Amino acid sequence: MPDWSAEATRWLAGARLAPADEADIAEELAQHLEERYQGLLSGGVTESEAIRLTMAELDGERAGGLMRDLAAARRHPHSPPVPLGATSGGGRLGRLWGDLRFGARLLRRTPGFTIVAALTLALGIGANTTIFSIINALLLRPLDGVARPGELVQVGRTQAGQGFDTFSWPDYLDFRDGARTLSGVAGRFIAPAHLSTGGASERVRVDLVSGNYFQVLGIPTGHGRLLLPDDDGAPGAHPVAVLSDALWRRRFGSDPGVIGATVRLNGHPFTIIGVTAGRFHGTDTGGLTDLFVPMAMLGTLRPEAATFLTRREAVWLTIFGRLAPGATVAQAQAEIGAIARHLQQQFPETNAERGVTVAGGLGFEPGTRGEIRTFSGILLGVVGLVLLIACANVANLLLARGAARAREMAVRASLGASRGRLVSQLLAEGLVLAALGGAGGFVLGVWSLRLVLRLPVFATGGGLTIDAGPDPLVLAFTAGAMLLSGVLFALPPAFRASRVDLVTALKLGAPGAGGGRSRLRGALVVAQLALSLVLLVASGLYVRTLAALYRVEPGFDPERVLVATVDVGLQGYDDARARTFFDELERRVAALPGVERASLGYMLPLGGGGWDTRAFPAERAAAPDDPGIKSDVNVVSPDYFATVGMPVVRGRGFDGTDRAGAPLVAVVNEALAGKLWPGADPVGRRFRLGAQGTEVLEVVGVVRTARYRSLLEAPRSFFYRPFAQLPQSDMTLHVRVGESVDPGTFVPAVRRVVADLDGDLPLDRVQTLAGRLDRSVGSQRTAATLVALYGLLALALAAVGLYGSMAYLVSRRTREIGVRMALGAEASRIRRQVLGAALRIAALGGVIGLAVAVPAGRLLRSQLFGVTPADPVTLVAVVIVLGAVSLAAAYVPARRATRVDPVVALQSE
Amino acid sequence: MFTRELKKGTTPMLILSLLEPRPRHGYELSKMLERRSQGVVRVHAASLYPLLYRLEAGGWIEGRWVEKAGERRRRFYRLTAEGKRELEKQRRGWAEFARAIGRVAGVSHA
Repeated sequence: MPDWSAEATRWLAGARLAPADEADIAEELAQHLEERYQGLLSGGVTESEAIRLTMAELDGERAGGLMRDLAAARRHPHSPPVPLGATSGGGRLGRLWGDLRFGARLLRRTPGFTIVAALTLALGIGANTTIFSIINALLLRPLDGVARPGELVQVGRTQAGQGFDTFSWPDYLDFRDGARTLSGVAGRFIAPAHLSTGGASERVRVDLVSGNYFQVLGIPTGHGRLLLPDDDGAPGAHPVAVLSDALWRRRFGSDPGVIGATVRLNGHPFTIIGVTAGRFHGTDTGGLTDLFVPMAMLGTLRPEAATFLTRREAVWLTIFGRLAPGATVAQAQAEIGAIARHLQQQFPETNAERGVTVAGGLGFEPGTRGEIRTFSGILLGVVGLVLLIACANVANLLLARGAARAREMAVRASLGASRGRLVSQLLAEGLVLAALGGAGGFVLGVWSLRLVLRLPVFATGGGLTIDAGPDPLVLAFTAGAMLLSGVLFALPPAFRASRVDLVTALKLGAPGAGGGRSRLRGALVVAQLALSLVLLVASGLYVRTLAALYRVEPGFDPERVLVATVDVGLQGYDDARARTFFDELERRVAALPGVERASLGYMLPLGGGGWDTRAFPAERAAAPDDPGIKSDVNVVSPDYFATVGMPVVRGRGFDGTDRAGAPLVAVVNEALAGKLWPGADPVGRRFRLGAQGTEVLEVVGVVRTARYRSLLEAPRSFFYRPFAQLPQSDMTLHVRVGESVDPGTFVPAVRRVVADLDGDLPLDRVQTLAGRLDRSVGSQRTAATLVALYGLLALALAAVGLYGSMAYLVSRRTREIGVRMALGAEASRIRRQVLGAALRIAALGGVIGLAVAVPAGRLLRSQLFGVTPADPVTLVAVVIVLGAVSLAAAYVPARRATRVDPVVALQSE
Repeated sequence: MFTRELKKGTTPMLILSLLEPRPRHGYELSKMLERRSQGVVRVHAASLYPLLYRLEAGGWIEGRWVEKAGERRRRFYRLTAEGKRELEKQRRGWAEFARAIGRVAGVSHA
């Protein structure tokens, strides 16, 4: 006789039960087998046949699945018998757990479905994770290393109630000493400087800070000590510096011995007294500070600004503070506002119209934060739609699966499972699917984040250098997106599937069952189409904006031009020395082989900022309330216009006669000429700077209006003055190189020329003009690229989903088509009808989508350039694309249906 | 013809009803299922025991090792109060269902 106990134990081994359980079950099973064996023998069966039949007890149908059931049932003694519609037994939690396990098991049984659905969800959830990570880093995450960031406020200057700007140092001292609602008020000034330690030198970002800066922020010390109010004493008295942790690691190899060492900033010795702890990198979200120096060293680092600390009219200081315990932003606003009003009365000549705005938070100034918030909202909306489309796809898949499982549901319902029970079972299945999608989405999101951070605006020097790694908040967001999408895609099919009509469903898949289901599917297709259309319209508008951005004529020729800024002020040059230096620099660079021309300009084209003045025609006295013509000015050397490819259309450019001491001259652009002397020839006319100004310039030439501050600006009044008559300490060298040469290859040669003239002068902002032009529209391009990419992702998802839904709708008619074919209907006619029906659904989706997309497009208005929100080209293109996708999705299954042999079609039941 | 699905769905109810009059052990249950259904319902040990454990975990039946003098111990299953309620519910459901089938498909049931 076989050893049934051993057989039972061997059989149970796969279930990996707890030893005590296993022994019990083995004993019970062994008894069963033995009795069966004995029963068979006593029934007259031969021994070998009895053994075979007894062994068959163990390889019942789906033994593997039942093994798992067994294991699960024993391991969790309180979980419910899932396949039945239990209404009691086990706790609520236990039931959920059981449902989840059952769902997982079902999904494992259909790997194809599971993979497609999870991947679809992962794409949708991943897109949301990526965008949320960026928003988190930009807007939600407090500044690294700052204590209780919620208490920090920034204080901005308003001028006649407008703006959010910098203050003078004396104003700052009055706020600092007068404020009771703020426990501390600190200031900082960004002063890029030239850092040299022994041999190597580089340009670094130095923040000149008030002595209480670190105390107000509550920054922990890493090594040595941080700055104290005493360090910020008499001007120039304490040449000390604190390193950021990042610079300390990068430049000093994390050497603690660096405390007490001397480095040179702009050639002046500074003693390193400490290193900040952790990841603190200054108070700007988008920028990284390398060194912190007491404000009293301003005159040392910036000789031209030496007097700023005593001058109330010079506004250059950024101010922030920490709310005193219990104080609110509104109280601080009231108090600082009162101090500002008092200063207005006390110093009317400097502080007239100077007010303050106190705003919570630090990192971005409020205006920038607002812009980022707007765009973040748009992006979140876009990826939200992508997720919705993904959910619609999965809901569709589940509906199709639900149809296949109608009988299973009916059996369960007939066994007494309540509807709620069936819904919760199906929801649990959805949650398992969502969890798979969520996990995939998180991985995908983190990965695609890395790609997104390569886009222009986030690249180094692009304006927003952020650390957008995943953190608990991102994880929580992904989990939330996962749960929400799980409910979204699983609930409608779950309710649909659980609405079992026992009679029809148990008639084993009678045709016509689930007419409601196909209506729901039709509705889903319409919704999918509408959502995709909205997204595609948004995406299309951004693509058109991108194209328009590339078409803008800058008004100069950026190809083959290299620019690099040299600031001799950093080394303390006076005007005469600066003029000599720059003349020599221009001469030597122009003489380099391969260089066509070299010249100097003060303003870097498309740098965002400008130097504005007000111009008044000199031939008449200005009326008291005449604001004059607001105009930007640039200081250039004679060869500038030829170097940047800006033709002089009237009169002449500058030449050697426009020297210091000679009559003051200017070249104006057409916009300024038209405003100062409408319709008249401006050459030879004169204009004054400032209503009562003593500087009067004679116009010697006119150039075309170009783009100056940004590529997207409205035509701006502009004029040029010769460098010889208005020398500046920081000038940008413009170098035009010969045909078919990469201007970038001239960087080393230019560096050598500068080093030969003064070895301590760093070359800054070295770039090609073409590259600069690209970067100047970096944020717009980043925005457009992101929306366009996510629009494409949505299109791909929607196309797949549409195809699936359409194909399913058509395939449900296979039998009907078979009947009609059998009755002699023409295939082409049937195809036309099927296509017509599909197109009606598509048209409905399209109309709804358009009705939403056109008003929604208006929300994007501020982001668009060169295209209107209701751009007909975009709308038509999107309709054609979606129409084509719908048509293809309907045509292929329609063709297949008409090719089916009627006999086969009729047998499909 | 007794389809797999139908069998999977109905076996639990059948077991609950077999346990209604008195506790029984696993082998007995399998024999009775076969005999009473006149061979239509055959449940292998590989399916029976997992099902029993699930019903037990659900609180509808209770298994207990019982030792009788002169015999080795056996595990008997007993219907719980919860199980009785469930059985009644399922019976009602099936009766309704069967009547519905009868009305629609013209199948009369014994």
